Amino acid sequence: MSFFTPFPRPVLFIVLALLAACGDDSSPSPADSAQAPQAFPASLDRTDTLAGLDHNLNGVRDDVEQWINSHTTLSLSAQQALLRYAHVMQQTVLAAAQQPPQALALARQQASAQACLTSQAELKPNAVAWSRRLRQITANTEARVRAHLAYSAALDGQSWSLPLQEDCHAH
Amino acid sequence: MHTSPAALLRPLFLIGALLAPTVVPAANACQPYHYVLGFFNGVWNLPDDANQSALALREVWQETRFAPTRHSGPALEVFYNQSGLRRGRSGALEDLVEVFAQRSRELNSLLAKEWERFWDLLEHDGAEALPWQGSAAVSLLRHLRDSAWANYVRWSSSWWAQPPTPQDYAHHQARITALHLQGKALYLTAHSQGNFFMQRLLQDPLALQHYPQVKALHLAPPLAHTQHPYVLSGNDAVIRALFNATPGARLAPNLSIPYSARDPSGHALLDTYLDPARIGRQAVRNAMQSAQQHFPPPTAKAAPGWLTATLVWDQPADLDLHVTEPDGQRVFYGRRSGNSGHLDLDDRIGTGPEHYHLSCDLSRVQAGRYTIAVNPYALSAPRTARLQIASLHHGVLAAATWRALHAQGSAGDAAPLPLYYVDVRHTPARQLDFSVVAAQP
Repeated sequence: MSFFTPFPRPVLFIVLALLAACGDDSSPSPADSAQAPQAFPASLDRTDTLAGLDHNLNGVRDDVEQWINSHTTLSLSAQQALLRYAHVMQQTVLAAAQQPPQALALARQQASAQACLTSQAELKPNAVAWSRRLRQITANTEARVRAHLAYSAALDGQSWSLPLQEDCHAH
Repeated sequence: MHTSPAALLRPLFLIGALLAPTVVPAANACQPYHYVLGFFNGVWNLPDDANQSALALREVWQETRFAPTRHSGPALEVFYNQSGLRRGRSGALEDLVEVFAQRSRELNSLLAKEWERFWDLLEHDGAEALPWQGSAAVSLLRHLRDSAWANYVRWSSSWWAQPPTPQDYAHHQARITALHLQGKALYLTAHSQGNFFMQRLLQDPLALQHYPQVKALHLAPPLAHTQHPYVLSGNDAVIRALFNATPGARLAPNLSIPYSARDPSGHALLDTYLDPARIGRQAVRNAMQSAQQHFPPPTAKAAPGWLTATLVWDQPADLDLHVTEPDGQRVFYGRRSGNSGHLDLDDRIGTGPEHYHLSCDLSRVQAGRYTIAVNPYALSAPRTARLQIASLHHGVLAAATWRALHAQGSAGDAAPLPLYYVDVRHTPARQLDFSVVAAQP
């Protein structure tokens, strides 16, 4: 008998509903301090340039920085980790990131920043959601989406290392 | 406007983070880890997805009974493929961009402006609620998701007919070769489409010659067969769809991970196979534990170093690696030791590798420019060579493919072809900083 026995659709829905209802009991309780990313900012920078507006010239787009800033209950180190990751993400949508040597250097920075983000107790349980949300709001125009995909395409067939430990000291 | 104290201090901390030196104990600097856990990503994974998967796999590794302490690793390597864009066939990510651009412009001006929603198309796990509940954009996004899903299955199944070629995984192979030569214990993992890459690499006869003791684990493999352990859920709807689309032999599922609303596809690595609440993670942990018990003592054939250069090529020939150190001393087969580094592998009849390493003794490492060059000493026909520059703590810094057309013999020793310049700088934290520049346009 094949393992892949198709479920009748009504049965599948009932099973899924039961699983969803039981989710709270079967899942391990997340860390007390865990926080999830908030919804998208009310208004995102949709200017024509890849870089967008960055008035304080810290390498993080103003609207992205403001969004991070809006998570006022996060610790300073968690906000710092998000800013560091946002800074790398911003680099990935700039044209220079699409050349293989620069892309590889950037991939190492991204891996390091991501390990740092994941090391934060408040961010770790939702680390995937945090990094994906920062990708979404950074690559939020057609040109920026294409640029970020060009960055990932430049990495095709390449390899990179992640820091030996998940902390914010490794660069 | 409310501004938290954390927000006021943040710019200072950001600057501090960007300037902070890498802190690695100087002692034992060249042997910081023994195990290397490699990850081959699945289809439509972006670099951040691949990183997150690798980090999660390390967490499982550290849960095993035999795992050494956190400080000994395992080191993580991402072996990345984004072949959708490279090959440019229908079903690739670029195709999805075109569909999103066209359909959103035609049907919903709101969605056409909000390209952040494009990324929702890649998430087939249903984890996040769609925006604008009740609006027309929801139905459009759902339509696009369904279309993306069909593309996903079609694209993934195309790998059955056209598996990765040696060109696709050449740099991965060179990296694995270098790590194996340095005596690392390699544990390779792959998810979904990444299994095609990992399997082809493991089956490559030239590769096996270099790393016969590597261990591997397939996760959600859409494969017909494998000699390595695997974890495949019978409730994996993606693999089921792929198998339905491609008749013939296929791996039998070996566990049944219960359905979850978090990932109705039953296919996602993080939300299903590594979900702490379900049995997939235990199966992965058991497989890792079994592998840890059976790793033979590593045998290093080459030394690690702050910086290494590895040269391999595709068919038997004699290609030579030449490294000119800042003091002008050239290290090659004729003079294998310089004042800062050493050529510890020289191959004259096979496919490499040739291997140069920079000393682990920081006091011996000269600051300045190192020129990494090659000379095709003897070859009967054109050869394709791969040169990889890697640092101890940051992995691959640069990788080049180079075509050797004619043998230069000893005449070429005087003027080998430079491929990379590496500028080395000592930092105040007793570290080295590397800057790599391609010598050829």
